[in-house]
Amino acid sequence: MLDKLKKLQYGLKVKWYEATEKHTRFIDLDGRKIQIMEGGEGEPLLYLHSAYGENLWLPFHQKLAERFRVIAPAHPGFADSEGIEEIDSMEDMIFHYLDLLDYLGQDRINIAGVSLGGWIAAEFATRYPDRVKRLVLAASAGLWMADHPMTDLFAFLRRPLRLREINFHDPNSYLAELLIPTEADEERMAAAYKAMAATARLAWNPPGHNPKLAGRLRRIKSPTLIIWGDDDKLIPTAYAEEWAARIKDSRVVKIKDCGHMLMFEGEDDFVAAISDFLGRS
Amino acid sequence: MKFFFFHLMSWPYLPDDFEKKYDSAWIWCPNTLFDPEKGSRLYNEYLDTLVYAEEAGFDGLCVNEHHQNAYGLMPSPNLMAAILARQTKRVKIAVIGNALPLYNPPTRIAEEFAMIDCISEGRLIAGFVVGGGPEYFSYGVNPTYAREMFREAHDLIIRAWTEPGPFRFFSKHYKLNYVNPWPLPLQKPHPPIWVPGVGSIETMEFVAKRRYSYMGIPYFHISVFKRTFDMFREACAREGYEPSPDQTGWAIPIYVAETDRQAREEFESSLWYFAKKLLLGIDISPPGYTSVKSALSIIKNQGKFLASVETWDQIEEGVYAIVGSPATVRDKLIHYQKELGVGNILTGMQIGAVTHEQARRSMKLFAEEVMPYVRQAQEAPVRS
Repeated sequence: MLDKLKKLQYGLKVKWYEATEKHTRFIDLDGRKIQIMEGGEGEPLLYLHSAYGENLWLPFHQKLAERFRVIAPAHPGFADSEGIEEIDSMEDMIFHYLDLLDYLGQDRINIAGVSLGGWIAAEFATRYPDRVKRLVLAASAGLWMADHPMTDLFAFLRRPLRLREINFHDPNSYLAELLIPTEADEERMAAAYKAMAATARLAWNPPGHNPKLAGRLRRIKSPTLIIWGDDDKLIPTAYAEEWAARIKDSRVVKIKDCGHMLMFEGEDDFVAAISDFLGRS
Repeated sequence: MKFFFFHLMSWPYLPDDFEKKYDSAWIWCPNTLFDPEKGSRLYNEYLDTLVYAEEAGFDGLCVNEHHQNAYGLMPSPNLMAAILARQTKRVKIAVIGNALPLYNPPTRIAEEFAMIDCISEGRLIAGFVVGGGPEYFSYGVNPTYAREMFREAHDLIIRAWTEPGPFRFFSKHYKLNYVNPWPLPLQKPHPPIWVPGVGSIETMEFVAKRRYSYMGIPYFHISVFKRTFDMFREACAREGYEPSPDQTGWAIPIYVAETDRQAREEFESSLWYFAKKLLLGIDISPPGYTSVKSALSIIKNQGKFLASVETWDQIEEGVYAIVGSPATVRDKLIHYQKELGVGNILTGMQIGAVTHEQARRSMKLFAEEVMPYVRQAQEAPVRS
C-alpha cells in the first residue's frame, strides 16, 4: 500500500514538473529574472500565489486555464524569480507588480490572490484601483483582528505535522501529506526555505498584515470576491467578513470542510467560485 | 594558552517533567516558571562564582546575551560585565557577545562597550554576534536582514571607535546624521573582537579578513569542531596569514571531581538537564536567518548536536563535555587542545543545574590541578 502511494506521488510529481516546464517562461524585468507560468485561453487572470509558493503547474491552475488565460508569476524570492534584495516592504512588491503588468501590457486585469498573494492583490488594488477589473481574495493575509489572531506560521517550519494541522481541515489526508511531506528531499526543503524567507521579508513584523491597509480598502473600486475555507486555522474564517465589511462591492463564498490551503483542499469549489464570479458580465 | 570561565546563567529549577509538558525552553516557554525570589539569589550566586574564577586563577570571564528563555538569564550581558568590571581586577571580561541586529541604533553597543572598557581599565573583549534564531522571534526583528544588519552595525561600531566624531553614517538599515559617542574605549585602536560561530563559512571569512578571533560554539561533536577550526585556518590562509593562538577559542563544558566516578555522578544529571530541557527549542530557526545552504547543513548536523545525544558513552565519544578526575580532564584537554590547535579554552563549568558548591569545588580542582599542566604541556614542544 505504502509503495503504491509513493509511486502515485512520484507520478504526480513528474506530471507536475513536465506540465510546469511546458507552461513556464522567464522574462527580464528591468534586470531581474522573473518566472511566469501561463496557460489557457480567454480573459486574462493574474494569479498571485501564497507563501507556500505554488509555482508548479498544478491541477487548480489547469482547471482555471480551461476558462481563462492564467498568468501565474512567482514573486521575487520564490522559485526562480530574482529580485528579493530589492523588496523591503509591500510598497516595493506593489511597484514590482506595476512593472510586471506594464511589461505584459495589461492595463486592467482580473486578479486572484491566495493568502500572501491576496494581501499583495489587495494592496495593489488600493493603490491602483483602475487597473483591477475584478478582484478575488482567497484566505487573504493583510488584515489583523485582535480577537482572531493569525497563527504564527514561522514558528513551526520544521514541524511538518503541525504545519499540516494549521494548513488543512484534514491534516491526515493524502493531499496534506503530499503537499507538506513528513520527510522532504533536499530540493524541496531548499525551495520551502526560500519561500518562507521571502515571505518573512514581508510578513515578519507586523505579522502578516499592514496596519494601514484596513483604512485603505475603501479605495478598491472593483467587484470583489472573498473566498475562505470554513476551517481555516492559519487565518481564521472570521477575516472573510472583515474584508467584506471594508470592501464596497464584495461578496463572500465559504468552502465547506476546508482549511487554509483552499486551492488544494477545496480545489473544485475554489475554481467554481472564481469561474462563476469572473464569468459574470 | 588562556582559560576563560564561561557562564550562561541558566535557570536550574525547571520541573522534572518539563520536556513532557513543554516544547521549548525558548521564546514561548512561560515566564511563570521564573521565580524572582530564586532568581534574585541565583544572580548573586552566579556573579560570586564569576568573581571567584578570578581568584581561582582563570585568565578571563565570558558572559553572553539571550532573551526570553531558561537557557541563559542574561538579556543584558553588559550589565553583568559592568558589575564584573568593578568586582574583579585582573581578568579579561569577554562579552560574547552583543547581538548587533537587536540594538537600534547599534551605537548603543559602541557606547556601552566603551564604558565597560574604561571602567575595567582596558580589560574588555568585545564580542559581536548575529544572535540566536529564537531571539528574532522574541524581539520581532526581521530575520531576513540578520546578516546585513550585523555587517552594517559592525562597520558603524568600529568606525565609532576609530574615527573622530561627529561623522555621518548612512547604511541601508541605519541612518545617523551624528555619530559621536562619548566615551571611547581605553584599548586602542579598539578592544579585541571575538565572534562566536557555528561553522558557517561566511562568518569565518568575515573574522579571518579582519583578524578577529573565532570562537567555536559548543555542544557539537568534536569532529564538528575539528572541521570548523580547520576551515577557519584555511580562511586565514586565503587572507595570507596563519592565525595566532589568540584567534581561536573552543567552548567546552567541563566538570572535575576527585575521581572519574564521582565527577560523573555529580555532573551527569546537570548535563542531561542542559541537553534535554535547556536546549529544547534552541534550534527554532526563523526563515531567512541563514542562507539556504547553511540552513540545510544545520539540519544535516543535527545528529552531531548535544540535544540529540542519548547516552553517556556518546557524550564521552563525541567529547560533548570533559568530565572526570583532574588527571582525566588534564589528559583529555591536552590531547584535544592540540588536536584542535586552539589558544583559548572557554570552560563551561556551571552549565545546566550544577550547584554553586559543586561549581566551586570543580573550579578549584580545575585551577589547581588541571590548568597549570595544560599550560605547561602547551608550552612544551609537541611530541609525536
